Formats: sequence, C-alpha cells, structure tokens
Amino acid sequence: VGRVPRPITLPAPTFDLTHHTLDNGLRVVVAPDRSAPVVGVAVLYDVGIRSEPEGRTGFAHLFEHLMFQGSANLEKLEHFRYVQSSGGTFNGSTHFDYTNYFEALPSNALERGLFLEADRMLSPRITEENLANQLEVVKNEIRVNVMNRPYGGFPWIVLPAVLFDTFANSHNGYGGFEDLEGATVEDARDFFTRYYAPANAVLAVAGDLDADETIDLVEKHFGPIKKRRAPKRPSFAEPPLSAERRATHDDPHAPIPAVALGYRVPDPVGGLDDHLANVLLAEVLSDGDASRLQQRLVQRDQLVTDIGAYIGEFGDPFDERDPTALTITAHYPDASSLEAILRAIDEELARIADDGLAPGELDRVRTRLVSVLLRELDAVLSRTLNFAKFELIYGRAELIAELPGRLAAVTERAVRAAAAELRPERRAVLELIAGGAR
Amino acid sequence: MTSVVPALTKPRKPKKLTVTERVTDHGLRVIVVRKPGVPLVELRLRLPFASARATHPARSAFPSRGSEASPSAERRASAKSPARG
Repeated sequence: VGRVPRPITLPAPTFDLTHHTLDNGLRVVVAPDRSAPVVGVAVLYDVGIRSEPEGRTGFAHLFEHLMFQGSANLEKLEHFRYVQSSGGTFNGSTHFDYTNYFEALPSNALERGLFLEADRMLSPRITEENLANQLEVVKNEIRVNVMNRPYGGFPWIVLPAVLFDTFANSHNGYGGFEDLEGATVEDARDFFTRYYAPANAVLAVAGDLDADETIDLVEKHFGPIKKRRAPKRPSFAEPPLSAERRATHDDPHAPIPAVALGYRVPDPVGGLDDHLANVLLAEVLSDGDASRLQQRLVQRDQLVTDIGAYIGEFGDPFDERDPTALTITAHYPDASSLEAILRAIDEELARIADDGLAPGELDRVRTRLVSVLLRELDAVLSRTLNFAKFELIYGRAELIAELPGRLAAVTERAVRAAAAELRPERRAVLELIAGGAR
Repeated sequence: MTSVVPALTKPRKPKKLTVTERVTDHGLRVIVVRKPGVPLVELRLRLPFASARATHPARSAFPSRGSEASPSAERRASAKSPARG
C-alpha cells in the first residue's frame, strides 16, 4: 500500500447561471433557484478604497452613502421605504476593490428591486445638502466603530499603513475627518461619472425568477442608461517585503494588548492555486481548537487569549485583487510577551514547512472550509453577492461552484511551501498598546 | 409614492417542504426535512430543559461549548467591514 493519500472529494453546489451583457456594457448574471419565493439583487461597482484620490481618504465610502439619498425618480428616503414596504432588506458596503449595493426581496418585488438599482445607476441626487448630511453620518459611523470602541478598526485600518507602501494600498479606508470634510459635490459628481458607469459594474440577480424574463426586465430598466467608457484599472501590485517592519498603535480603550502580523501573499486572481494553498494554511493555523496556533499559543503556552489567521482585510479571501494579505491577530494579557508570541508563531510556521501536516489535517480543514462556503451560499442574498463578486474579481461567477474541487486538489506540499514563505522578513508587525487597562 | 416605480406582482406561495417524522425504539423523536439548495446537511439535537435534577442530561450538557456559528464564521464576523449603510 502506497503512502500517497487518496484525494478527497468535497461536495460542490450546482448553479444554473445565465450571462448577459447590455449594450451599455453592464455585465449581468442571473441564477434561478425556485426553492423559496425570494430574490437577491446586487450591483457591484469596480471601485473601492484603493481608487480613492490622494487627499480624499474615505471618499469611496462617503460616496456609497450618497447613493442612498434619492435618485432620478426617487425622493430622499424613498429607496428605503420601497424596499421595506415590499418586505425586503437592503444595504451597501465599501471594500478595497469594489462597492456593493444590494436587496433581498420577496420574489414579487423583483422588478421593483431592479428599478431601484437602475434609478441610482442612472442618476443619484448628489447635492450640497445630501453631502453635508452624509458627511456627518459617516463621521458618526467612524466615531462609533473606530474612535470610541476598543480595537475599533484593528487591524484593517492601521495595518495596511505598515504593510504596504503606495497610497492606494496603505491609506485609512474609513478616511480622516479633514479629508472627508474636504470632499465637494464636484468630487462626487466626477467620481460618479468616472467609476459608476454601467460598463464598470456587475449586476447579479438570483432566486425565485425566470432567467429570460429577468433579462428582459434588466434590459427594460438598465438598458436606457447611457453608455460611458469604463475607467482603466491600474495595477496596485507591490513586491514582497525583504525586511520585517514594526510599528505600534495606541488604543485608548483597549483593556489588553493585541498584535497583528501582516504578510503580503501572492496574487489571488492570477495565482489562484497558490492563493488557495494560503487560504488552507490560514485554516490549518487557526480554524478551531485543533488548529496549530490555537493549540500552541492558547492551550499549551497560554501566551494569548485568542488567535486568528485570515486572508483579505475583512476576512474574506476572495474579496480582493493583488495585493492582498494574510493576517494573524492575537490578544494577550501580558504586554511583555510579544517576542515570545512571535517566536512561537515562527516555530509553528517552520514546523509546518519542515515537517508537513499530520495525516488527515489538511482534509479536516478543507472539509470545514467548504461547509462554511456552502452555508454561506445557501442564503439567497449572500449567494447573489458572491455571484457578483466572483464575476467582478475573477471574471467568472462559475468559479464559486468549482472551489470545492480546486480546494480538494491543493497538495500538502503546496501548503508547506506557503508556510515557508511566511518568514519574519516578509511581514509587518503592528503592536496595539492598550491604554484602557485600569 | 412615485408612479414610475413598478408595482408588486402576485406573491408566490412558498413550496411545502417534505417532512418525515419517526420515533426510535428508545424514544428519540427524529424529524427529517428535505430542503434543496446546497449539498449540506444540518443536524440539531434538542434536549428538553425542564428538570431541576442536577443529573438531568439537559442540565449536565448545558454548559458545554458550541453554537450555531462555526469558528470560521465567528472569525469572519470579527473582521469588520466598513460602510454598512
């Protein structure tokens, strides 16, 4: 009997996807699933935190708010009323490489949902009054989520500044107050004209619908929006680090210290298989009580109270183009134990690189990862958002259904090689100084 | 409300799920529901919590760990996305 383990088979979902591109360049993905009378509608624009102009940090998010303040045919607040009175929910969020707007609705509100999205793609109401009002809303959001909260924005707001060099990759994506206050109606109109063109967006519609009828409705509501050229997206890539970087971050509310280690990892789109090896490495390191870092640093050495490893600034490994990061974060009671923590992490990474994984270890984490993915895809809205995201970032919504197979094919050797790349000279270490301890 | 906004169409009734129920020889009530969608099964064991006796199985199991969210889901929830609304 050979020692080569039999490749694992992981369950894959099946989706019935229809693609369509409008004359104005809007890419559309439609996915019927008639198991429940609900639909998801999601529009993703190919612009995020990385495309903000210098001196305008936080602008992509501020602009996202302006998309909810009325549009061509809708007064302020009507969008909310129409969604909610139809029995639906809505939101939007700003990411590093895109901004999304979405609704989950009973299927009898499908056309209404499409209309609402088309109306603001046509023309949001960008006025002095709306800008001034949403500037205050955004500032309050930052006060609540960052400035007045222990570990607020840690590490996604502060680690990029240490890990990356260019303005695009390193700046505070929530924005500085001075920059936000400097934003003008003119800035917002330019941003809309440049980045919110139909040809710079993906629309996904999924759930209780007929594909052909839905495409007709999409043509009816989005078709009349005039074609504008999509902006050319620059490369944001940065070379790997060659020397370790250290910085500290003062948190006046945090009761105990924390640390974030960021490693630049390979292009998630161009090098998907290497990326998946890193994704699985992150799971080996910190997914569950049996994971390497949990066992070593929480249970055995009792150096930290918790530790986690993840890819992507918001913990979603498929949310960003190049560059992206693998981040390890930990909270710990004794501020003087940082070096011991780093040493233990390095030893565990070296152990994976040198000695490999235990029998069954890789299959355990990939099975768990696929089940998390499937759970997420079961809900109509997150499924819709995923179709749109994979279409935008990877150019193929179909890739979602192929992920279990691609994850099953990742070898132990690839995971060891990924661990061997996470050396101290390749990382940025950000130490959070806890000022809230009393 | 503005007249150009499309009206709602006739609501569709949710499909009935197939439910099978059986009681095993030792008294465990088993309910099986088929819900198509993704290739996952979900198991939940519910113990009635209606005894003051310290040795009651529900009481002794109650402090043990475990929730509906997987560790990955918890981890993801802890990484904050900006701009919700």
